[in-house]
Amino acid sequence: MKMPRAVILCLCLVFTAEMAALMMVRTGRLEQDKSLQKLLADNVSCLQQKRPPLWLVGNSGLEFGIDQKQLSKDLGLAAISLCHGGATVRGSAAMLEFYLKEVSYKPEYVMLVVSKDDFNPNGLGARTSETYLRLMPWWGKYKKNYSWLRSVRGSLYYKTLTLWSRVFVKKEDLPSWREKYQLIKIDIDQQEFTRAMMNNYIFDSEGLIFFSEICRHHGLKNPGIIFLPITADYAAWHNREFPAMTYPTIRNRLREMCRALGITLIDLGDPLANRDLFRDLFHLSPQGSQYATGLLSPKLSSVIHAGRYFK
Amino acid sequence: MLYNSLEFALFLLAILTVYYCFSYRAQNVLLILASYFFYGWWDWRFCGLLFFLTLLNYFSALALHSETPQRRTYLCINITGNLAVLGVFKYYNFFIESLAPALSHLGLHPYLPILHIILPIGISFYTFQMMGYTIDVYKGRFPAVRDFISVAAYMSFFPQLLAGPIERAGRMLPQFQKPRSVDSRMVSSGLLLMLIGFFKKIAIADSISPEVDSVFSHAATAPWPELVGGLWLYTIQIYCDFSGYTDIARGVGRLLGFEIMINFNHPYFAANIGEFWRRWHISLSTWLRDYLYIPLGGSREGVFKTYRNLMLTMVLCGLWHGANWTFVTWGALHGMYLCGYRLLFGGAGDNTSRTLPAARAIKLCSILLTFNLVALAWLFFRAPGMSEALIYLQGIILLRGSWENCLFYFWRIVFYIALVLLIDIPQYLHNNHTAMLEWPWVLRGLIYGSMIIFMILLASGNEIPFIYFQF
Repeated sequence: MKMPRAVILCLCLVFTAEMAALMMVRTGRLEQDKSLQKLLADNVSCLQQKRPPLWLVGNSGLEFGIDQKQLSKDLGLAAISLCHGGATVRGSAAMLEFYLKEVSYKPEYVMLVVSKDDFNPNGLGARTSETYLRLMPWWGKYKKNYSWLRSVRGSLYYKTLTLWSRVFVKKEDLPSWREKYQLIKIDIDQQEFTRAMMNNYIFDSEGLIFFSEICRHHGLKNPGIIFLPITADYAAWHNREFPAMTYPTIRNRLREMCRALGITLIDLGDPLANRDLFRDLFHLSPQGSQYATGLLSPKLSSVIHAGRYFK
Repeated sequence: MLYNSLEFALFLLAILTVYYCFSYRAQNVLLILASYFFYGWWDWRFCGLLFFLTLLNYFSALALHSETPQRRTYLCINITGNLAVLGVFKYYNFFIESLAPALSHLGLHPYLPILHIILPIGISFYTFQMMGYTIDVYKGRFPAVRDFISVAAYMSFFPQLLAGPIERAGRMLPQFQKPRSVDSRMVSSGLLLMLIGFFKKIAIADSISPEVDSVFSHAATAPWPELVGGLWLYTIQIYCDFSGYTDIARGVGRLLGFEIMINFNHPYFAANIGEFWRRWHISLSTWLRDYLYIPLGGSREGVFKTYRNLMLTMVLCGLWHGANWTFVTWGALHGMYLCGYRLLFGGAGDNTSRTLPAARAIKLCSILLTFNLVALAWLFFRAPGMSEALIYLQGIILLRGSWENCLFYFWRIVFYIALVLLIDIPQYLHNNHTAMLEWPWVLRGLIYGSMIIFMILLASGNEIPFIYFQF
C-alpha cells in the first residue's frame, strides 16, 4: 500500500506547519489576522475576564465615535465597546443576544450606539448584518480558530513580502510599498459607500422592537440608545434624497418609538457643521470622538446616577 | 451545493457510506435520488425540468430506435423540444432585448414581454448531453436503452450534471448497465484528482478572483500593465476554475466506479489555436464538431463553406455559453482565429521536430502567441458588456498609464503561473493526469502536504461558485 504512507507524511507536514504557526504566535513572531472570529473570541474573553457592567454595542460609528476609556473614567465604571462593522440596529441587537448567550453574566447597563443609517433595512449595513443575525440562534456558534496557519496568513504574507521586496525595492520606499501591497486592500469610494448606506431609506421600527424584546427576554432593565451626530452636509443630502423621511423626521420617530418601548434615548444627533470633527460624512474623527464623549458622559451619568435608568 | 463546501463533503460521505453495499441496479437508483437531491439543493423546481427532459429524451430514443418511417419527425420533435426548453430559459430574454431596439429603429413598437424566470443551473450541459444521446440513436451509433433507471441515472449523474463534461452515451451509458468495480487504484487516483481539482479551484482560481474583479471594475482608469496582467490572471483563473471542477467530477466519478472523460488536456500548452480547441473543454468542442460542424459539411465542401462552417460553429459555441453579445464576440473571435490559422497554415498540425533547439524555440513562441490570443478573447468572455470590454481593450491598445508600481503585480502573476505549471508540467510530460501516483511516496507526501498548506493559506474566506455553473 503506497498511498497511506504518502498520506501519513502529508498529514504530518500539515500538522507540523500548524504547530509551527502556533509556536510563532505564542512567541510573538507572528500575529493572528483581524477577523470576525478573532474579534468575537477576543470580545467574549474580555467580557468573561473583566465583566464590565456597561456594554456599548454598535458598529464603526461607535468605534470611532465614543472614547471608551474616557467614558469609563467619567462615569466611574468599566465600559466595553462591542463594535461590529456595518451592524444595523437589528444586527447590533443580534450581537447583544450572541454575547449574552456566550458569557455567564448579564450587564447592568446596555446602550446601543447608532446613527440614522443604522435604521435602514435596505442599506449596505442590512446586508452586512445578515452575518450577525446568523450568529444569534443557539446553533449559531462562531467558528473557532480552526487553523493556526490560516489565522496568521496576513502576518506570514507580510513577512514574505518584506523579504521579497528587499530584492527590488529601495529601503526608504519599503514602508509605502508594503502599505500598497497589503493582503487585504479595501478600496472604498466614499460617495458610493454612503449612497449604499442610505439606499431606499426607510425607518425600521421593527429593529428597535427586536432590540427591546431581546433585552426584555434576558431581563435587562431599561435598555438605552445613543444617537450619534452626522455632518450638516450629510443631513442636507439625506433631506434632499428622502423628503418624506427627513433627518428631523427620523429623530422624531426615534424619540416616539423609544418612549413607546421604554428605551432610554440619549440624542446627540444634532447635525454638525464643523467638518474637522468627522473623518467622512458620518464617522467621527478623534477630535469628534472627544467632543461626542464629552457630551455623552454627563448625560449618561445623570441617567445612571439619578436612578432613572432602572425603574 | 458547491463542491468546495461542507455540505457537499457530508453529502458525498453519506452516499459513499451506503453505495458500495448495493448491487449496481440499486446503486443506479441511489445515484438518481442523490442527483435529484443535489440538483434540487439549488432550487427544487429545477428537478421537474430535469425529469421532463429525461422523459422526453428517453421516449424519443425508443421511438427513434424503431424502424418507423416517422423517425425523422421524431428527431425533429425531440430537438425542437430540447432547444425550446433551452431557448425559453436561456435565450428568450436575450433575443427579445436585442429585437426590441432593432424593431423600434424600423418604427415598430410591438409588445414583447420579458420573462421573469431564473436560469436552471447547468441547463446547457445536460440538454446537450441528452440531445447527443438521441442523435446517436437516430444515427445508429448507439442503441436506445430500454432500462429507464440506467438512462435517468446517466442523464442526471451528479458529478457532471452542473458543468460537464458533456458525456457521450456510447462512452458513459454502458457504465451504468453493468456492475462497477472500485479497487484501491481507482480510489487513490480519484482522491488525487479531487485534491488537484480542489487545489486548482481553492488555491489558485478563488485567490485570483478578487484581483481580477478589481481590475475589471477599474478598467477605465487602470494602467495598461495592470490591464494585461488582469487578463492573464483571468486566463489562469478560468482554466483552474473549470478544469478544477472537471478534476473533482472525475475524482468523484472514480470513487463511484465511473470513468469520466478528460475535458482539459493542458490547453495552454497548445502551439496553435486548433490544438487549443483539441485541448480545451474537449467534450463541448467534440460535441460541436460531431453534431454541428460535420453535419454542416465540415471541410469537405470547398474553402468558403469550410470557413462559414467554422465561423457558424464558433459563434454558436459562444452563444451556448450565454445569452450576451460578449459571448457571441468571444465565439466569433475564436472562429476568426481558426479561419486565420487555416488560411495561413492550412490547418496542418505541428510537424516541427522536438529535438532541434530552433524548433523548440519556435514552439515556445507559438505557445506564448496562442496563449495571448486566447487571453485576448477571454476579455470579451469576462467583461460584463461590450462597452466595458472595448474600454478595457482601449486601455491596452493606447498603453494608458505607466509601468510604475506594476513590478509586484508581475511577480504575483509569475507566482500563480508557477503554481499552475507545477501541476500541469508533470501531467503533460507523462501524458497522464494521475502520473504523480507513480512517484516515490516521500515526494508524493511532501507534494500533497504542500498543496493542502497552500489551500489553507490562499483560500478565499467565501465559497466562490464555479464560473461555468452560470452556463
